[in-house]
Amino acid sequence: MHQLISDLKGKIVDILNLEDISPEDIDEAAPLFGEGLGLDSLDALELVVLVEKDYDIKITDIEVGRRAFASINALAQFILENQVK
Amino acid sequence: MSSSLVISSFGYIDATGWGGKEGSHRWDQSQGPLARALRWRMVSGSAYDRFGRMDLLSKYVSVAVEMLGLPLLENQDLPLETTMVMGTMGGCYGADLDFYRGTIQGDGPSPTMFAYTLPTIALGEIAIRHRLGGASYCFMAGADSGVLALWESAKLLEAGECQECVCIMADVLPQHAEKMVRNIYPGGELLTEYAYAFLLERNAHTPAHERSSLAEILISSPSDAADSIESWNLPSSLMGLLKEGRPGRLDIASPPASGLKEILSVIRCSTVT
Amino acid sequence: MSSRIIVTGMGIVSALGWTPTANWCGHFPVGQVNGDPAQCSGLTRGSRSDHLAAYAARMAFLDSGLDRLPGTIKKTIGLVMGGTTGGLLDTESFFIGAIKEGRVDGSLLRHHECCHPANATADLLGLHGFRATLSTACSSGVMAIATACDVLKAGEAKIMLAGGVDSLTRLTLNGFASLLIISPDGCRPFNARRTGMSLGEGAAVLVLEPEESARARKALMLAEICSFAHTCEAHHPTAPTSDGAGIYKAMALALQRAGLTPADVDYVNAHGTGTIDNDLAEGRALNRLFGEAHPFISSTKRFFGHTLGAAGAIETVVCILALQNQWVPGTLGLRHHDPEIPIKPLLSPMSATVKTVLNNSIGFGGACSSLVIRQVSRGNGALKDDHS
Repeated sequence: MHQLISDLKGKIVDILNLEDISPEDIDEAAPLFGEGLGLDSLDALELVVLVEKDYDIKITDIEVGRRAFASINALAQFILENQVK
Repeated sequence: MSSSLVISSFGYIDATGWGGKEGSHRWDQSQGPLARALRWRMVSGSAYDRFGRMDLLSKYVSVAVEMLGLPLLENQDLPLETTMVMGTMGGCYGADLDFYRGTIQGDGPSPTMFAYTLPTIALGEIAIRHRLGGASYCFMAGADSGVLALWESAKLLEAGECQECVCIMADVLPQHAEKMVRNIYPGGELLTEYAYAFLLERNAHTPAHERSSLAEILISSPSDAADSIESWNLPSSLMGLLKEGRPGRLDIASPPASGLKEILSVIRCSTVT
Repeated sequence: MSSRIIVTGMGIVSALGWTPTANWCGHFPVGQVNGDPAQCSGLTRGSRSDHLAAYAARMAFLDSGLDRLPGTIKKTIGLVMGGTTGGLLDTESFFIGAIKEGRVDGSLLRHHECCHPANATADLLGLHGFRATLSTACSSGVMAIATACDVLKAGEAKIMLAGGVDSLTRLTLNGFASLLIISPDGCRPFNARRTGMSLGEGAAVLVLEPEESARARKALMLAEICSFAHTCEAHHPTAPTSDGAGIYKAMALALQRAGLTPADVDYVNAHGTGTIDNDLAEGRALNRLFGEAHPFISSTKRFFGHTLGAAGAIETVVCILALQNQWVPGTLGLRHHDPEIPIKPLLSPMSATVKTVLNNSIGFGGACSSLVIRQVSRGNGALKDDHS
């Protein structure tokens, strides 16, 4: 779980081109959207692409995505629960 | 003759650097292409979290408009009197190509990249940053795009449709597209990596922070004016006139096939206020 | 010049068909234009968008009787087109060949530019007046019509053609799909549990001129373009504000400029794409403007699909047909009103007294446009014969 969280922080900074943020700066419990990291709905869709490409989990309902992307912790939990071994 | 319009500020970015009325910064090209190295902090000294996601056209337009020195308004009703007018020849050609590349060779269609395949998104970004609530126009007219943008800006102001107009001329075209462009327009040095922004205002408009004018805009009949410049040359000629800071004049015929029998003159006077 | 701006001709092509009547009476879910536009555009070559635009423009040109004008006057006619794709369908082949196979065929780029449909159409019809192409996403069509009206009001032309065009492309299909807003079973605007938009393609062009010009040459007066307004929401590149503040302001300003009040509006052709966010935001804006006793409202997006840069122009033709026929279209695809949306759009078409119509278009980048169209008080309002 710890490694997954660390990986996710790095991937998010990379795919979203967050210029002024390094992975270590991200609080895994803080909201990703609105406050916290301040991501928006387009960023959410990029995370959908990331989750499918890197973890083979397809999200077709954006509401499922919104719950999964509540925070880095929530995302890590979602991946662990849904990843096909 | 009408003399109720002025240019009160300008901003620019191209492969050699960026700047505006307040000063300029030369890019050291030994550090690699500016297009790849550009970060918001280099330009502004502060953070802007939207910038990293943008395509190159939106980045360049955002920087050029930042150089205008518009106020950053927070949490208030959007004023409707500032209009945005952009003229671009290639639009989002670069973003289109990146989208296809990502779709075919990369991770599939990127939603963010798709959003930026519309040139109007660049205007949306500056509207978000500077809280501009007026109309946004994006004209695509080949080599005449810049001329059309300037003329339309002047006409909207003259008609009282707005009090201020952010007039933008911009193009970011990848290498092979430059060849395509030169095939279509063999004459003249078309700019293919730049964004220029000009703030046009009605002379009677009094902005809160009291800008002084750099140049007057006159619209007159052709017999009153000297030879006008070639339309493809307008962006660099206009920016050159404003940057130089010395008195000078530029006469610009209405866009070809416009039906307008007028000349738009930009008169740079060091003592214009 | 303070003359009213009158529509004296129109041409349209969409998945519903190739004439105003076909587009008025069609009732099946759509997307692609059936048939090959290249066969009937009048152009010998060009992109799909070029052919669609030229077809619609030529239809409008003939519809208005402009072909009977002396050449000296025809030359002064101008054209403003809205669009987002230009020759992208051909350019795609270039991209795909270059990326997949390293093959660079520059000839595929010759129709690429967004302004190419307007240029090809103007050359075909011999138009040498004011010419412009606007690319403001889904509000392009309405903005083109408004810009042409500005040109006429400023006295810079006596007759203008204006409209919008877009063709289906892999980029738009894949792009909207990546935003998770394409409905798998066709859009259902304002419906509870709606699942997104449908894409379409097409073109529509109007002939616009001041009333004096129309009367002087005894042109049939189809409708008046009364006023328009554009605003920018300055909120997000692709999502509207939750309360639709931008389109509310555009509608309110357009009515104010027309000297009208919300009570004067008989029908609103909503943008109504069928996405969760747009319909909710626009519904709230309409409720804020009109209150509970709102006029007839419908979205016609399912008839044509969302034709992007052409949508505003196609829907303006729909509004003119509503004025001519005293009949308002229903919202194809709508079966159950969404209880969260505080308006009740029409499910089915119906006869109605229609004198003033509002046409909304909302584009990415926060571009909101609203057009006020009115019945012309004098002149024949009957639906004209088609030019098949």
